[in-house]
Amino acid sequence: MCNQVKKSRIESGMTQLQLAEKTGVTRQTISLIEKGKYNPTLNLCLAICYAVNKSLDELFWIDRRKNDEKDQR
Amino acid sequence: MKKIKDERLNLVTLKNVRIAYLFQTVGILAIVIYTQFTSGPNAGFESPLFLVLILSSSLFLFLQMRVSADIEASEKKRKKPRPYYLYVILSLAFGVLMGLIIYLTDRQNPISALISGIVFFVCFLASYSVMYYLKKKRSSDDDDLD
Repeated sequence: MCNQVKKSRIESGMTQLQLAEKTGVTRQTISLIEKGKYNPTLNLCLAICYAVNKSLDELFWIDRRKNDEKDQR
Repeated sequence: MKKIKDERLNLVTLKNVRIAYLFQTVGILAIVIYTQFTSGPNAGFESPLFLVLILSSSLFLFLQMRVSADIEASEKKRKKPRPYYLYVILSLAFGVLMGLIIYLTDRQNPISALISGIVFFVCFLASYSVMYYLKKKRSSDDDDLD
């Protein structure tokens, strides 16, 4: 699932490893989340939001139309 | 070994455990069947591996009841679980029926028929009790939603 984690992390001046340490997961998990290859639980989503000082909306919200288009592809 | 905190790795570990469980079960089954072929049909059933297989399967089925209760609750219309005494009567009926069948096949051993009947009654009652508890819990959870 596409998200804004990578953009927000770079804006916060953090590396994947730093974000991983802050959220208590491995760097590989952060990498997979950024690529949209792993869907994190709500708890991890919140931990990422707290780490980069953004809201859930800003990081993970996808417009319904865009999401439907993506599903049809 | 370090404790895994990463949720993704926990999921991967669970998948690995599932594969290992499947492999182990197939292995035990193969050994039991092999023992039956080489040392006679009873040797397989007398093997402790067979006991492990039966106990782990029973444990798995008991644990899986939580999943069945959820599926049943979402598939059927929500309703209160049947009263507990019905489950006791049903278990008693199974126990008596099985005891009778065993008594009719071997009339010289009424004690073994009685013991078998009691075992069937206890086994059915235990599984029905777990199911009743889960259904009641699910029903009270649903009531909280109203």
